[in-house]
Amino acid sequence: MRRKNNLYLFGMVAVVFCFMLFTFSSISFAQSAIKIGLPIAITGQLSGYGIGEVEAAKIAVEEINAAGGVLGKKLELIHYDTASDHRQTINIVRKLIQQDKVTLICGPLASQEAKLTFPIIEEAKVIAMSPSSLAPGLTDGYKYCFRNTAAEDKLVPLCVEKAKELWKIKKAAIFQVQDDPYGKGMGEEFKKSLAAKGIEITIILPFNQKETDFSAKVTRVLATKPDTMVLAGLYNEQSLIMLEARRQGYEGSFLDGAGFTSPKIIEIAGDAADNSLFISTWSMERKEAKRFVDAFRKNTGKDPQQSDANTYDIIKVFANAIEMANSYTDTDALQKALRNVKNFPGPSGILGFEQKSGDAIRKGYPTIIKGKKYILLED
Amino acid sequence: MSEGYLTGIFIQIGINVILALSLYLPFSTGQISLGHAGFMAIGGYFSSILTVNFGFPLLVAMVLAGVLSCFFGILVGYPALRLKGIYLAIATMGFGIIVQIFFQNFNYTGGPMGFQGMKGTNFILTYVTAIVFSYLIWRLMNSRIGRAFEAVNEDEIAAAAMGINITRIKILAFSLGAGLAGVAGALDAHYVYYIDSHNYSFLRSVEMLLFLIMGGSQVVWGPILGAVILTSLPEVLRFMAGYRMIFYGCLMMFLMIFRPQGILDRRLLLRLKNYLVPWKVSHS
Amino acid sequence: MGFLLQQLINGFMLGATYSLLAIGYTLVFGLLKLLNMAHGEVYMIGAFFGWTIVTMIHLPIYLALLGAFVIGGILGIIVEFFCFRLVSKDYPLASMLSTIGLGVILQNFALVFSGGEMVRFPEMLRTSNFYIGPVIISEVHLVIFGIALCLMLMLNILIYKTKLGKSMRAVAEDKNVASMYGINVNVVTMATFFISSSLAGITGVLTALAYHSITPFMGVEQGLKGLAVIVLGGLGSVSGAMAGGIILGLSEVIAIAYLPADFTGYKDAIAFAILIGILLFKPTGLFGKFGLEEKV
Repeated sequence: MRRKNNLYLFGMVAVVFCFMLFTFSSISFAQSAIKIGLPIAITGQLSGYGIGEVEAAKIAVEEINAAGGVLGKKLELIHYDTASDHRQTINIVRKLIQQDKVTLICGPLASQEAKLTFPIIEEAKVIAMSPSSLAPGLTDGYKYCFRNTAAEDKLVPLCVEKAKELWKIKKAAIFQVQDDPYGKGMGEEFKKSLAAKGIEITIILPFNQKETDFSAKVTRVLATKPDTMVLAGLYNEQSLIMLEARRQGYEGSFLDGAGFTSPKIIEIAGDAADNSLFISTWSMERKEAKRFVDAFRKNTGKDPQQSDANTYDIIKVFANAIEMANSYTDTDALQKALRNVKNFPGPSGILGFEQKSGDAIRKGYPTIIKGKKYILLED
Repeated sequence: MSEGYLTGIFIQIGINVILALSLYLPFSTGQISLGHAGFMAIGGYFSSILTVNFGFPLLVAMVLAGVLSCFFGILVGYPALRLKGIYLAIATMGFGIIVQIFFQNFNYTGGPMGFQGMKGTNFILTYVTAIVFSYLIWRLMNSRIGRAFEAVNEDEIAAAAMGINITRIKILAFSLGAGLAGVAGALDAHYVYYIDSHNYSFLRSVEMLLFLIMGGSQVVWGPILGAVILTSLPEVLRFMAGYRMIFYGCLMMFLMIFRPQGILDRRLLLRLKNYLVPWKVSHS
Repeated sequence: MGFLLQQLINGFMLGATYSLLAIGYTLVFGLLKLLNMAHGEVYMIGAFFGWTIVTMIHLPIYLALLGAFVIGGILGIIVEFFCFRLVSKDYPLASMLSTIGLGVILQNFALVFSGGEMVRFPEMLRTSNFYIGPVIISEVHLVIFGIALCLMLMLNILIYKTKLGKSMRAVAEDKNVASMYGINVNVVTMATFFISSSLAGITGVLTALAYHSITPFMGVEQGLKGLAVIVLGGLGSVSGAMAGGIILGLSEVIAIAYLPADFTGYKDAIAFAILIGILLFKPTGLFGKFGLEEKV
């Protein structure tokens, strides 16, 4: 009887102690490489962007290290999978800053993640640059937080203009996602641009991520007879809406921005995605992009999409800034160096960075999806 | 914000202890709630609005959040009196989900974009709260009211025959539990800095239940133990992060087959007490 | 008018899937007073299994339906054994909690398998549409509706015209008396679980056909709504489940069709508002026989 009590007691105490020990041991040791944090999702609904981004970052780091590194040190990526979960992302960013002690972060991936973590990053005076956060206004007023994408509010009017030119649209319906700032912001921008160009908005229907049944919503929208549909969201839901709309006999066009850049749209929606128009800031045809495109194809067997090229250039522009500032810890100097960048030679075509926000200045290429391919419309 | 990573884990343990206790209270009277995340949501959002929009200090916001959740507990608990066992479980589950959908659409608190800007939960606040609650509940369970809880749990009709006011006891347990969940929600919201409706899903309610069921649903120490072990486990099991839920699921099934009362039940606790405190006379 | 009709068609299709899922729940509950919380996950696994058959092994769609049916049934037997037979009946709701555990395990498997992503279910039926007046009915609609109707018919025949069905009804009525009459309660229990879960499995594939996408999370929401349906229809009543499913499907679609655009987000709340309302005001549901006096 006594012995059994002994066992139980010691067992419990030992178990509790073990937990303590293990949790203590997750503290990392100092490194002699320059660490860049990579809080990018490779599972979950953002993985369609994230997997490629991680690959692109790896390619950039390999190239830089093979050429001798930066300031004599090698670059090292500290990657954690955020699993497309917001709380995880916050925890991971905090971990990168406090435990891994990075001064540069390539990420976060999505606008919502950036919205949540930028305040933390800015307060910690760490440099961050996101490859794929496109919500309008995201980096306004930030000193240390950047993104290698153009502000969508500059691109949407171009998109509407082009749609008017191609299809003479008079009526538009908008599907606007509610729980993602990129999609929601895009919806607002399209509302403004469409109204400004005199196009009637017939209905604005909200939807949430992870919704799968759009039959009733599409029926309601089609009853208003729109010429075009704005799908302000991300690729998963966009593809489903396209499929459902075509099934119900819709023959018009679709409009959006970066949501369409993911090839997953073509994979899931197939021919239903025909006549999807958007303004891309990425063109594989550019000669500066060739080396990267080849390397990416070799590593992954796929063509790089917009976010992949953006990520590659983030690493490269970080390295460049470190050299210019002659430091990888003085983040004040680093952000100044970044803002001094002009016409950076790289696949994504960074023309520079804004002064009052962290947006990149990029050129826009109208692109359309047809026959399961992306087709650049000559400007 | 300058919380270390380790401190963060300890804070999460503290919050989960309070959550587990909040489920323990109604459970001890035989009421199962599968929707406690709903009360947590109410507390979390309400306290956040108070601190972010109106500048209340966190402590005050916590207390008010607890009171509001308690009030909702009474609101829900009253009609719930009519329901027993599985029907109560289903109804509370429905309640939790409705709260979640409400916050997903309610734009004042951010709707689907969630609410952010809170901060302030630290180690001391969390542990003082957890310890105070644990102590109070322990005292409660050892008092006349606690014994009334047990009596109602065992056999309602007999308890009523003995003069116990079943309605008051059950509502007391349920609403106190709801209030506790609200306070935990406030602490949690000010720790994660950002909340949205996904924070308060059915899975969250199940998680809380797991703390209680695994740790031990018969004694106060049970939920505490359950919360400690199940919160630290993910850190230890980080290498199998993707398969964590398989582990939890198996754990749940295993427990239900072999030890449904949880790790720490009355008998075990008694044995431990006998061993640790041999000079104290203990009654079975 | 055409708009309303089209939305009604949408509602019926949605409702048919809700009904099929709810029937499974109610069969098990009627028999054992047990809520099988893994039901939604079995539905999801059925969809994934069907997907595997169609995309990886390249077999035709009806084999996928059959496969999902069988896999569902097997999972049902697993639930019966591990979550019911082995679990002590002394502790309240232990079985239900155990099914929650199993559900979580299944979901994790699916998460790992799919990488958390939505998986595309290919177009298996020719996308031809039939135009009846102002209304478009697609082949997919017809197939799903047809299969759902067949299944419900077969189930009715099973329950009311076969010996097994009679045994099931007897055990549901009173387990002890039934066994005194020589009915093997264990076998009947297993059969019930098999039927219930195989229905879930095949419904998964039907849903995948209709909506082209499957995710590891599809079971959770459908499962919870299925609960609302059986409460609405009356716990234990199969016809209640059928009717309740259609009612819920129609209500959700009507809400989407006619609520002001901003409020369509609340459509998911309908199911749960109904759930709570029924439990509070008419706990027996529309067709049910079980009241509040159940103390587990």
